[in-house]
Amino acid sequence: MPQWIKIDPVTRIEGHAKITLQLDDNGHVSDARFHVVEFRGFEKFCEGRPFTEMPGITPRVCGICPVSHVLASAKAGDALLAVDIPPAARKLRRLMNLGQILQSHALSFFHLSAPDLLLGWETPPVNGTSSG
Amino acid sequence: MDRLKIATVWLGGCSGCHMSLLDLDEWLFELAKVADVVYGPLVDTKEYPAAADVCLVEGAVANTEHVELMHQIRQRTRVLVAFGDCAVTGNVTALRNPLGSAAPVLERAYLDPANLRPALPHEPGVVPPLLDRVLPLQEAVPVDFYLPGCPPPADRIKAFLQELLAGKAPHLTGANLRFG
Repeated sequence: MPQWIKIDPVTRIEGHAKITLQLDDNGHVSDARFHVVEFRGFEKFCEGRPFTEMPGITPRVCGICPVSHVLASAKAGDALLAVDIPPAARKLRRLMNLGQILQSHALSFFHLSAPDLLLGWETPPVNGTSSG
Repeated sequence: MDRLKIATVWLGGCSGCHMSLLDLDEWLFELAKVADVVYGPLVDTKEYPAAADVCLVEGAVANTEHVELMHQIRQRTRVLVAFGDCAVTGNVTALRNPLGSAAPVLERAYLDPANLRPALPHEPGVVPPLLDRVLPLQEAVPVDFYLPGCPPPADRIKAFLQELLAGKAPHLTGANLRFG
C-alpha cells in the first residue's frame, strides 16, 4: 500500500509551500514533490495598466526581495521609453540591489536557519525562534 | 502576568508586512520579554495553538485553505488584527477581482507559456483552489483591529503593539491611518 508523507506547511522559508513524499510498498520514496501553494496572477492583472504603476505594483510580488522586482519593472520602463539612465542612477540601483542581498541573507540566517543550527533540532518548535 | 501568545499568519500577500515587523530590530527583544511567538512563518509549529491572545494576519483571503485556516484561527484567537493593506482592503492581491474569476490569471500563467508543458495546477487535497474573488479579511471572519500600510512602517507596528501590550485598544490616528 503506497503511503504519503505530507509536510504542511514548510516553515521558515521565504515563501509558501508544502512537500509531499510518496512511499512504495517497501517504504522507499517513489516520488517527492515541492508544491508552491500561493498564486496571485501578476502576469495577468498587470496587463493593460499604465507602465508607470509597475514600480509600485511589482515589488509586491515579494516583500522579501522587492528590489529585484522594482528594478525589473524600472528596466522594462526604460526599455519602453528607449532611454538610457545616467551612470549615477545605475550605481544607485546596483547599491540598492546589493543592500537587498545583505538583508535577505541576514533574514535567512538569523530568523529562519539559526534557530535550528544554534538551538538544535530537538528544541520544541515554539522555542525555536530567533528570540530563542 | 502570563506571557502573551502572539501568532502571525501570511495569507495571499508578499510577506512585506512580516519584513516590516522584523524591521523592529532590537525592539523584538523587548517584545520577547513579555510575549511568545507561537505560530507563523518564523516558527516551526505546523498547527495553530488551541488558544492565542493576538494574531496578526497579513494578506488577503485568496484560496479555500485561507478560508478554513481563518475560521480555525478566529475561534482560537482573542484579538484578530488585519495586518497591512492586503488584509484590510484586498490591495494588490485583489487586483485580479475585476477579471471576474480565477480562471484568467491561472490560464495566463499556466497555459499561455506553451513551452512549459502547459497544465493548470491540479493536486486535490494539496494545492488549494483559488477563490474566484479575493476577500479582505473582514469579509471572511470578524476582525478586531486594522493596521494599514503597504507595508505598515515598523514604528506604526510598534505603536500598535505597545498599546495592545498595555491592555488598551489600539487607536491609530493621523498619518498612521494611511494606506500604501
